[in-house]
Amino acid sequence: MREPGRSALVLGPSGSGKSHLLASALEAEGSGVILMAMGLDEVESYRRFYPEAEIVATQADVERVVQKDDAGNAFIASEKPYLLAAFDDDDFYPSLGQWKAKGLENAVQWLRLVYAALAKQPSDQEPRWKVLGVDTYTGFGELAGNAMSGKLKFISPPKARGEGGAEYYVGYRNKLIEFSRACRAIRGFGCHWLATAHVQMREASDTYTGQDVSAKEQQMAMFTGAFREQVPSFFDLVLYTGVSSNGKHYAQWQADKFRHSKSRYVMDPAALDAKGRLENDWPTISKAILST
Amino acid sequence: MEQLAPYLDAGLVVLSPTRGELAARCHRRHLLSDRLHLRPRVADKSPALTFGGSVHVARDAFWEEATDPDGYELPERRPRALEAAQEAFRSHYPDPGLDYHTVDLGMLLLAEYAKNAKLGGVVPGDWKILHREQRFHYDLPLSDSATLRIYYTIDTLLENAEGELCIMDLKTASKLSGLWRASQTNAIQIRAYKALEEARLGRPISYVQVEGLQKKDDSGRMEYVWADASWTPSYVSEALQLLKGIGLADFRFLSTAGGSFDSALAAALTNPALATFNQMDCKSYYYTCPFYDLCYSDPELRIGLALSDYEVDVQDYLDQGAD
Repeated sequence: MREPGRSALVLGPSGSGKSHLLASALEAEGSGVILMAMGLDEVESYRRFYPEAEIVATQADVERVVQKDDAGNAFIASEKPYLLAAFDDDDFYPSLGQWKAKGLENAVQWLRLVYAALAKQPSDQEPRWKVLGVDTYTGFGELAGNAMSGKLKFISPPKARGEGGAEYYVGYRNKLIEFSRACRAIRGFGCHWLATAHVQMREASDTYTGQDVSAKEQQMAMFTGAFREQVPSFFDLVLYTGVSSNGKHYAQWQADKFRHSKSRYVMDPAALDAKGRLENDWPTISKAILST
Repeated sequence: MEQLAPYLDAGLVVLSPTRGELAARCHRRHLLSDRLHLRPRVADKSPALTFGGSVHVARDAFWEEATDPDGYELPERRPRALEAAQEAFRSHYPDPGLDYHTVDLGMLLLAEYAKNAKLGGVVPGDWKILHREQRFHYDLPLSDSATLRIYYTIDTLLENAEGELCIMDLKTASKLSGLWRASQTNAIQIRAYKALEEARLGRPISYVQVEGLQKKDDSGRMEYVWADASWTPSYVSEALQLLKGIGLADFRFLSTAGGSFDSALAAALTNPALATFNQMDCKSYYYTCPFYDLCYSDPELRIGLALSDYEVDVQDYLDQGAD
């Protein structure tokens, strides 16, 4: 049975080095696909790959890169080792009555093209792309929110218990699960899946308070509702990025003290400092990942 | 195909009554877990299954201590037998346990067992144990070129002074309800045990009983179900025919799945002609099927998801056919 790629959720505030980790993975592995949202906000992080990258941001780019075979099936025609694809809802202006929000749907279609290409490869061949990056996962969450707002005609997200609230938030969650499933499926073909996410602090709650860490210290991916709780379970491990007081970027791994850990991987204690930190660099992190 | 069915070239398909029972509930689940030996990469064992396995180990240790070499009970040894059982449970069961299936619950059930267990169950008389937890196999022809080998393990086979035989099977259950009693009386597994042992021994089995131990309400309540009280010979032999049907379906799957792990995986996940799927069984026994997420995802993505989230359990592959 093929060995799947590894997966990591990379959490951190702006400027902490999340995209840097994805870029280092692209460089170390030599190939990869990065899906960016919202739009081209994150593309500057991948500037050094431009000469060897296919950049897809407009409909014209899509028509150039996606072709159809004799049977009418769409496929990615580019042979470049890197694909940088940006997604946004350019025509979504709810206050002006413009409800078209197809960014997330387009991203899922793109993921399915990547999946189809990898699935066609013989199992003993290295995957065509070795990294699947999602930058930022929370940006795609925004697109999911737009999609539901567009569908239900909400100018802003409704209250969960108000009219349309259940439909909105269930639909939001289902759309993100569909997106996440496609990413997980791609990982099955040996492609590492790394996803960045902006963070929010978990609300204080007795349920999540332990002996030595309070609920206030819990950083969560900035999603809405129940999906936020579910997200870590999609990944082999969760990393936090930050900048230390002397200006050095780091990645940090913390075993979850409050829940029975279901992580398939742990980090080599010898590779971590006293605070569970290591260099924010894919080869270093990849080497420090151990199977449980 | 060797990885999938090491005995297939010899025309053998192996199965156990337990796995046959699972296959009768959902063939796809049986193929994924028992033919492709897939397990979630993130360990997520059924708490009830893990707990029940440890209680079986403990019960075996109990009767090992509580009987003489000829298999007759020594009542004065019960306290020591209880200690042995509890020690065996503690060694076998993960600490602190899974959800409400705690080590303390195990200790409670074993204490109740030591107090209430009767070697012959509801049938009075002077009983002795002939064998405990022994594994046998029985070959059933599927066709001219294929055979179904059924592996099975009986918890206890007993004999009384009149030479009558009794199968005693232990079950732990959330609640010993009417529904539970009915399920024990009708289960393929328990009927198959009678048919298989009668075929092996060439003698009738006079009684088939289930020792039930209740987990909920911390009651540790015990109950004996006389499972075969209303069974007819045809009803018993039907269990073997059901297992044969499953063997035939598995043989067809293994023979036509294309000769590789990848094609067998694709067939199990996306070809309903070879692998039927029972959506009513996804959440039976209060536990979600480990393949639930696969079955309810887009069929086009299932192979990738299976490769991402599951791995082949090598030990299970080596133990193929074991109960």
